[in-house]
Amino acid sequence: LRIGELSKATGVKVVTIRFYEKTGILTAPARSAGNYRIFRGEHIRRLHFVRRCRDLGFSLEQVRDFLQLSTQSKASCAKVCRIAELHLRDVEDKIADLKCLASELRRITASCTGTRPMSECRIIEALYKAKEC
Amino acid sequence: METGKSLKIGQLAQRSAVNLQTIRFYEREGLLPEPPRLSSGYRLYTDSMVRRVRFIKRAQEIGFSLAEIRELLSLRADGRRERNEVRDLAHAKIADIEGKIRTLKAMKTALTRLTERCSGCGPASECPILESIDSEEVLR
Repeated sequence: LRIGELSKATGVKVVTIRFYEKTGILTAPARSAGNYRIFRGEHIRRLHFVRRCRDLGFSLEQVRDFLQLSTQSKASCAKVCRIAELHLRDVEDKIADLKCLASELRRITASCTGTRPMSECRIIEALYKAKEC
Repeated sequence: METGKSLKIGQLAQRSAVNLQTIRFYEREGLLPEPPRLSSGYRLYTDSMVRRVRFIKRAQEIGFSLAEIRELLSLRADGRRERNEVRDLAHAKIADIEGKIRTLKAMKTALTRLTERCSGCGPASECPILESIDSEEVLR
């Protein structure tokens, strides 16, 4: 497979594939006589895996940890689990913060009809209150 | 306005838990107002800037671009902005935020399902979380 075909098969952009190769997330493929990258089935599978991790919001560092853990014979599944659980907490925190921000914006727009000036401070405070709501 | 004491850039960075370059970067991007300077040339910040910097950082973390953050911070009616314009912008931002929440909720559902499958006691090479991600479209 050429890089364009791999991109089509996995839905990952060509620049991203090159970036993954440069940063070692994808192993460097063999080159054709014309110096084109020739990817194989294992690359497709790995790229699907990486893309799905990214869809789930895992950082590249976490993806790298997953890839490493999956090849270590002595690595425990508990490590994978911990990464996933930490990420889940992180996603939940983000949802909470965004909800607070949205409700603050709603309050601001609702009070926007009066003559009182709106203050950016209230928007800034929204992400502080998030810890409490 | 804030009457609190003034901070030098290093103190601002430390209290906002970012590094110095980040403060300068935010300043260049117009997210922080240009601070007054001492005669010695030091930038001097009010401590209200700590909250502003933390806000910008967290807003980035929860998925806002710098341009979007600039818009969020500009959501106030002053002499130069029409109230309606601000309101429309706020409504647009609310819609954006709801979109981000939907995406994160889909992630949350998928992640919850995945973590429930994992007992945490096997080898990582047979971890049900990794196997699921490897073999199916976990998010869709």
